Amino acid sequence: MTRAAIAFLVLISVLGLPAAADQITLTLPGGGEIPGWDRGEVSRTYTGAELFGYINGGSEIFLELGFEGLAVQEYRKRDASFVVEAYEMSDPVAAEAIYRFKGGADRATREFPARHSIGRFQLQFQRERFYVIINSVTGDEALVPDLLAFGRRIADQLPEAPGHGLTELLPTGWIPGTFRLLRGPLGLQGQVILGEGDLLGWQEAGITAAAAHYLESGEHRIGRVAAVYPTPSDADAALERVQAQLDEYLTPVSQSAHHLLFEDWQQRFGLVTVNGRVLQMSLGWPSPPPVPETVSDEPYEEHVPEEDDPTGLS
Amino acid sequence: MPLHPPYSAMDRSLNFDRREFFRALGAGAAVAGGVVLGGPAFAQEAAERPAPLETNLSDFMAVPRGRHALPGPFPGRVVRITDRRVLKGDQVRPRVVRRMFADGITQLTGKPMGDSFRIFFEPGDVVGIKVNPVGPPLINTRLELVDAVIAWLTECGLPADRIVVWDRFDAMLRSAGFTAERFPGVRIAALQSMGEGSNFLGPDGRHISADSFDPEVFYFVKGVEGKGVRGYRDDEYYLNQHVFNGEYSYYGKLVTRELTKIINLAVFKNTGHGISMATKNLGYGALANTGRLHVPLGLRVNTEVLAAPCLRDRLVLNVIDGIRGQYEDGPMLNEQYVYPHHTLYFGTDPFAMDTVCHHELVAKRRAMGIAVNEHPRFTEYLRLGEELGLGVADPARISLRRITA
Repeated sequence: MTRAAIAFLVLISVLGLPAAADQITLTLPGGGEIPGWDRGEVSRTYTGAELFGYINGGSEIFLELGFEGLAVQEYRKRDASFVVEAYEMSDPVAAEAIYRFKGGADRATREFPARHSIGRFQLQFQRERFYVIINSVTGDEALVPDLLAFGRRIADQLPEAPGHGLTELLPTGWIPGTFRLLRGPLGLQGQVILGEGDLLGWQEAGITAAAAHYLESGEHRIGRVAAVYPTPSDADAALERVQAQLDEYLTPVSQSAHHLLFEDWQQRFGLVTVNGRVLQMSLGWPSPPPVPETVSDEPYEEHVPEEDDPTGLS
Repeated sequence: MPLHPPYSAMDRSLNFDRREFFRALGAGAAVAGGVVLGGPAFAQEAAERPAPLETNLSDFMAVPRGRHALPGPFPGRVVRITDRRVLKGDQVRPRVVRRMFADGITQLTGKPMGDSFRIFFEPGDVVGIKVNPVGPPLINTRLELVDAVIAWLTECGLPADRIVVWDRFDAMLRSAGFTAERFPGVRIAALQSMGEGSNFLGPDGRHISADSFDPEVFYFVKGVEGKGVRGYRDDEYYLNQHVFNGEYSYYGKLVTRELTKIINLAVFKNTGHGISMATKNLGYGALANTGRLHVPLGLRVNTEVLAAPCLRDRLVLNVIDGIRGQYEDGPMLNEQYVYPHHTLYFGTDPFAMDTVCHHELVAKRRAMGIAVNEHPRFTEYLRLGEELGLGVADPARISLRRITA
């Protein structure tokens, strides 16, 4: 084992505090299950709010999206070392959300049974409620097939998650790689900061929003966000909170019971509208976008596709 | 050399603040598409906005500045050295790093290396090299850069045993390869350890690293304690990682009592929509009990912590290691966002350096299709640094010298 690998494992062992009383529900490969690879000494489990003990920076987004537990397992093969981090999220949407937040690719290849991104140092993938990173400490190109073998062994035991239909909230044609699932203000920062805290009430109501970026007229990058609230009055209340506590760097231009048009510090415009249970935002306009004149009273009906293959293989 | 126009939500030249803007609209301005906002909304807003947190920043600023106090002899000056030969595949070429380092120092000071040394250091100095060990093996401070700094110091007459390579956590130092074996002759030091389970408590019931922190030198934030902090299982868990959990963040004794000068070797990477570079490397790396500060104060901590005389008067040189950069999902490693940047940045003014690097990282993020949020809150701490006289954050007053080999 290289000195760097040893040091890396020491880091994990020191940062890993809790006893593994609460296990995640995923079974990681046993020693020898992947030919040539034995389990190392480092084996830790983190649950609930313990995540800061493992991640030094960047754990807030896990907590916002719905973090349940993390298993960390070291594997060794002569001088090589892998460290598997398996994050169990509260539900498949949360797992997909963190995967997308981390920049995971949209689709899988046919050689791997889940959405994934791979380099020489890291394989990351998402399947069902799990977001998994496998770190190759040395980054040896020759070990990439082993990275994939570990990944397949873990992913194959997980069922496919049912479709969530959240892509239906947004118009098609977003810039590839920009689709995100949001559950609170931290994730929303990629689009806009409307004010302090959870003004939109997504965390309290357990709402998952969809967001993506678009090229408008082939030139301007526009962000769009959509969320469905339990009731129309919940959506109205969210808009009222935004209007009342709008961020100090946003200047209100106009508002009504169903919209807020604002200008930001870079002279770009954003529009928040409510239509029944649906709150929508479009952001980053170079000139004020048109405000809808009428509001539909038709109830929003959720559309959940019968099949939504998260691997993108079908 | 303007980088971008200063942020402004309103036209400050008209002394026209938001409330006045609202009143003007409320007086009868017609706005298409809706009702102009009324007063009660702002009254409610004012009532709901929390008062600014009280810190001991004014105590720091009341102390007369030392001879080497920030922003040092070159306020607003940033030197950027790029050499594509610094990387050969994964490997960092030590000789190229040394040449880049020498070019950076001499361009910064306008003097040869020996004379440059004497600008910053005196006989008898104990020099601390603050590294960033987060994100190995790709996105921590390169060991080869530390080699170059040590070589400069020793060649200019500073005994190796007066050099301390340091960070906050001992385990992270080891993880990134900062070991006594790798750097013979110099001291490797961390401000603290962490224990297993409850083993972080010593016989006296205090954290085993409690004595590593100076009870007389602290950053105080009224009403913000390390208790019930989100992200930690319980307060004991927090205490293990942060040593203390009250309203005080004590600076490491290494900083307050041992080091007489500090060289800051940060890394070119993001943290959320901000950056984790020169000011943050010390702002969150030189003291304990920082977990409580992230949410209520965020990057403002970078500035206020640096204002303490123990850092302000000793931090003489900053180098941002951009041999590799990471433009998203930092400060931890995410390989797909790591890229060869082939660049080192130099300055005595960490606020000017962070201003330049924030701008460059935003440009990189845009170029790579990342959803960029340029909200002023992500750079307010830099402008605060300028207001306090610790550095320059106004792009119009920053001198950036670009050199490409």
